[in-house]
This record gives sequence, structure tokens and C-alpha cells, in this order.
Amino acid sequence: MTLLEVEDLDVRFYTEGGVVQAVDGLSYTLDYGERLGVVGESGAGKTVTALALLDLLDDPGRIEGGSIRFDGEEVVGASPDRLRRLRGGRIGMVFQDPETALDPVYTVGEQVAEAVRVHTDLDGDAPHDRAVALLDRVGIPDPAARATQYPHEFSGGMAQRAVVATALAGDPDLLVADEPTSALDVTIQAQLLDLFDDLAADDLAVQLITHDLGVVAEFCDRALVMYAGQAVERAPVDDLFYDPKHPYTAGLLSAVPRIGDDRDRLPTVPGTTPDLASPPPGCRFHPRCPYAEDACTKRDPPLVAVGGEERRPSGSRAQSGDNRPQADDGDDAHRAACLAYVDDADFEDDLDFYVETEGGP
Amino acid sequence: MSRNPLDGRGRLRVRGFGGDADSATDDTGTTTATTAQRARAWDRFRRDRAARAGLVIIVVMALLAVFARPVEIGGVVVQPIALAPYDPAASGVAPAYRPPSLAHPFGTDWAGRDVFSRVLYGGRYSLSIGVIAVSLALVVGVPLGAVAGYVGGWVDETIMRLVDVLYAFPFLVLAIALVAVFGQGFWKLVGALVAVGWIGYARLIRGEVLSVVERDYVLAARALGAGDRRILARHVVPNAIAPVVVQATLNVGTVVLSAAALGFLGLGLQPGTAEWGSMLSAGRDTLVGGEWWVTVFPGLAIFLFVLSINLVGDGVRDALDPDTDSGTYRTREAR
Repeated sequence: MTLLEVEDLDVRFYTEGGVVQAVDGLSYTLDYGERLGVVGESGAGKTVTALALLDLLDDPGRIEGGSIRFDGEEVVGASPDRLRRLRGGRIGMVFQDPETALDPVYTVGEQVAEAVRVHTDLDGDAPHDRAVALLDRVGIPDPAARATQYPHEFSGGMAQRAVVATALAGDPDLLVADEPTSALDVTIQAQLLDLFDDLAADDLAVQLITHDLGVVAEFCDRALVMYAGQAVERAPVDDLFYDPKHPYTAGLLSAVPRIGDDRDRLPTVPGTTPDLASPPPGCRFHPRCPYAEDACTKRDPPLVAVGGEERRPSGSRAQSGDNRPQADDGDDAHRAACLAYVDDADFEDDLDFYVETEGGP
Repeated sequence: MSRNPLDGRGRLRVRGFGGDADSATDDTGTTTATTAQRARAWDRFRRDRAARAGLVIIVVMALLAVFARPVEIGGVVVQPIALAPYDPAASGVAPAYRPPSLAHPFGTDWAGRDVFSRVLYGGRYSLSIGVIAVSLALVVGVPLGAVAGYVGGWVDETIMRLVDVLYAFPFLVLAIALVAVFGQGFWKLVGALVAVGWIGYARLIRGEVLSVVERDYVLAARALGAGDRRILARHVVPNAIAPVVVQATLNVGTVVLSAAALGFLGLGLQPGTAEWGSMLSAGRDTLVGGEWWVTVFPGLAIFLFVLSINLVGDGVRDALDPDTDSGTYRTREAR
């Protein structure tokens, strides 16, 4: 069942350097209990999308169009009261740097308890008890003692667990995690992903924003690849990794280091993300795309379904079958903005991408 | 000749990678001892000898002022001790202009009042003016500045332009004008000091708030559904208040000096009050006559108090903000 529907979202930042189209016509959906990975370079609009979900965009940024429906309710233009109930209550958010996401002047337990107080009627000692229970839930050992400590006494991994605990305080249906593991070292990352895995098993939907394709492969059900504010590919994780369509996706995948790979240098996607105040005409990826043709400079390609048969494993389409053909047109299916010529491309030179499977897919 | 760089060095032996060592090393974090930030700040403050000395002097002066004469509240004596040997207002306890002696350690003034008693008692005025005026200025300045910084827009413009206008007046001129309009008296003097004192705090906390609202935990609090008022009061102001506390501590001294200056100009309390500044003012003729004790002792009291406050203020700054090198915050006495 659909929990979150984002349709044609437009976010612009009105800066002195011009109007920056940070998110441009983005559509995706997220089901109850589903795990969606959002990947892309810095500046692709991943974080802006996440902030837009809760209408947290700050001043120069504004949602200029489209709709965000959470559990059937429109978020764009919602009253401050409803937004406050939504924030933390239905959608929890985890930020990149746990050390700065906790207020240094309060104990960790107090901060979790505050989040509990905002979203429940508990008073007296009850919020604190619930905070300790939440800290226990996210795997903090000796939670009662740790609750009385200040953020600077927490290691990065523990602090991020505490941030997750505050995000869980309102018992949300969706957890938006904005690069939750980027500031942590690899072993702690793995532990934290285990925690997310554990939480998602309890029917919590997770929108995971990350640079790490390995994390997406391991954790997510579906993935959304963003480039310059647009979705360029949307697919179940297996399809994305074994059969990437968009050249950008293929480029990202080829830049992932692999064990046993003896190349000296990893291939990169040449160039940098375009300045979104004046994006290139046509397909935004064309200046960096090894397959670009004349047509690419003129036409901005929409997302289209890949292949003839669309895989539709769940009944989501049948249930949300209403009069919005564009949004629910096979969201579980593999869709890409460019049915690239990756298949018959010359892998030797430009894009060095290959997949090795363990035991076969 | 090539040489193995490892020759002649000890071998590094690594132990503890066994099975049970693993379970002991999860990331449970650092220490178990809970040292709150405040405790650490207090610790740093205590190690600062000058600040400690200043604090002792202030506490002693405050105690002397409180115990100088009995305190009555509503006819009930709540503090019966009288350290001052004479009533500070009683004239003729001895002949006028007596030099310091055992009976009158600080001598007597023109009306034959005991200067020692007056200096002790005068601490009540000076100290309470300093503390009350600064507290009230904080009560006015901190909310206004914090709201200006947090809300921004026309609210910010309005409040900050008002601050600019008040800043444009020389402090004494403004205070003189206010006293001239409203008249003399303890609360009017405090009012004049507050009216010129709050702008500094408003401007200071506005700047701090502007930087604090950019921090992640403020965004995190918004993402948790906390309202603006809650965020401002619980997350923004507590994180922005440290430099204001430092400034306020230092300003107690400035305010006492200002009160003394107004008293010296005859604009402070009623003439004849045992306030240190007024005592200086009343005694200024005696400088020519050679009766130095009439002015030196109240002046010394002011000097000692302001010096102590500055020492404490420096200590507070170092304690709250150990990274800042001193001299970042300055008092406004230069104006």
C-alpha cells in the first residue's frame, strides 16, 4: 500500500546567482515498510527532496510545484499544526552528522524525552522512561546510565543511534535517513545498517539517502538515481545493479571499487554536476555522457519503462488504480530517463562497468 | 650500504585479538563518569586564581553590605546583625572632618557622619544597582535580540534599528536626559541604566542566534515537530547565551561605575544617600581642604568592586569559552 507519493515536485532556491532548480519534476512512491535508496552525486537534490517531504526548506528554498501525499494527505501547503504533527510523528528524520544533530547543552536522555513529549501526552517521569526504552531499542548498552550523559560523551556511532532514537520517539511510519552513515567508520556503518534493517523489519518504511551503492545493494528494495534535480532511473535494486539503463547509473556503478579488481584507477564519470542555476539544455547529463548525440541537447527525456514487460510483483498498482496514470504507472517497474545504449556500448574505453555475481543472480 | 630499517628495533607484539577480547570492544563510547559541561566550566573557573580572588572580594563586600545594618521587612527584623558601628544617616556622631581613628576608622564627613559605616552601608546601593540593572537589562535585551535573530525580516529590522538609534546617543547624555525627565530615585536610576544597557545584550545575542540557528540540532528539532517558541527557548537561546553571560558579568562593574558617575554629577540618588558615587560627589570640595578620607574610601570601594567584577568576568569567559582568546569581548566603558 502506498505510504508516500511524490508527484512532479519542483523545488527552487532563489539566490543572488539566479534561480536554482534544485528538484525538477521528481516523482516517486514509497510503500509501507519499503526501503528506498536515493543515490546521486552531491548537489543532485537528494537532501533537498528529503527536507521538502517535511516542508523544512529554509528561506531561499521553496516548493514551487507538485504534490507530496503522505498516507493520502497533502503535505505541500499543509497548516503549521498538521506539519508539526507530521514531523517526527509520522516521518522521522536522521541527519548526516550525529555530533551536530544533538544539542550539546542537554543530556541525550532529555533530548529523546523531549521528542517523546512533543508527540505524546505523557508527562512526569513517563517520557524519560520511554526515552530509556527507545535508547535500548536502538541498541545503546546500559541505556539508563547513558541517558544521563551529554552528547560529547557519546562516540559517533552511539550518537547516531541516539539520533535514531529521537526520530523514533513519535512512532513514525517513515524514517528519512540523510546519509546516516557517511560520518561514521565502516564497522560502525555496518552496525547501524543492521539497526536500520532491524527497524525496517517492524514495518517502518525507510528512505535512505546515500552515496554508497554498496549500502543500497545490501539494504534497499528499490533505488532512485538522481542527477541534477531529476530522477534518471528508478528500479528495484537487482534490476538497477544487474541491468542499469541510464548511462549515469552505469557510470556510478563503474566507479565502485571491487575486491579483486586490479585496475590502478577507478573509472569516474568525467566532469562535475552542472550549475543548476543554468542547467544545460535538453538532457542534463549530456555534457558528461559518453553516448550523447545531437538529440540529447534538445530533448529532456522523461522516465520511460524499460523493456516490453513490466514486472509488477505486488498489487500496488491495482490498489492505487485511480485517475493518476502518470504517477502510478508501474512504480515497481524499472524506469529510466534514457534507455541508453549501455548494452551495446563500447565498455573498453569510456565506461568500464561489469558485474560479477556470487553464485548467480 | 643498505640497511634494514627494522634492524635493532624491538618487535611489536599484538595481543588481544582472541575471541573474548572482541566482545569487550564494542563502541559503547568513552567514559562512564558523567561530567556535565557546567561542572567542567566551574572546574576551570575555580582554577583561575584571579577570578577566585575577585569572587571572594565580591562575596565579602556583599556580606558586609547585608550585615552592615539590620534589615527589616514589613516591621519584622530578618537580619539583626549590625556591623556598622553607627547609623550611616545619623549626623553628629562625632565632630565634622575627623581624620581616621580607632573610633572612626575612615574618619567622619562634613556632617559628622561615620564614613566607615557609610561605606559599608553604601554597598547595598551600589551592588544592588549593579545586579538589578544588569538583570533587568538582560530580561529586556535577551528576548528582544533572540526574537530579532530568530524571526528575521521586519521584526529584526525594527528591533535592530531601535538598537542603532539608542547606540547613537552618548550614554551619559541619554541617562542625564532620562533622569532629568523622570527625576531622581533608586528605581529611576535603575530604569535609566536599563534603558541604555539592554541594547548591548540584544545586539550580542542576535549575532549568536544567527549562527546557532544554522546548526543541525535546530533543524533536527524542527524535523521532530517542535514549535518555534520551544526551539527558540530550549535550543537556540541556551546555546547562544554564553557570551551574553560573560558580557553581563563584566557589565555589572560598568553599571556600578555609571551609577557612581551619575551620582557624582548629582543625578543619582537623593543627595546625602550613602551611595558611593554620591559620597564622592558630596566630598569633592574636601579634596582641596586636605580631608582625603572623605573621598578616598568610597572611591577605593568602587575601585575594588569594579576590579573584582572584571576579574570574575574574565574568569567566567575563560570558563565558558576556553577556546576564545581573551579580548574578544570588551566592556563598553570606553563610551
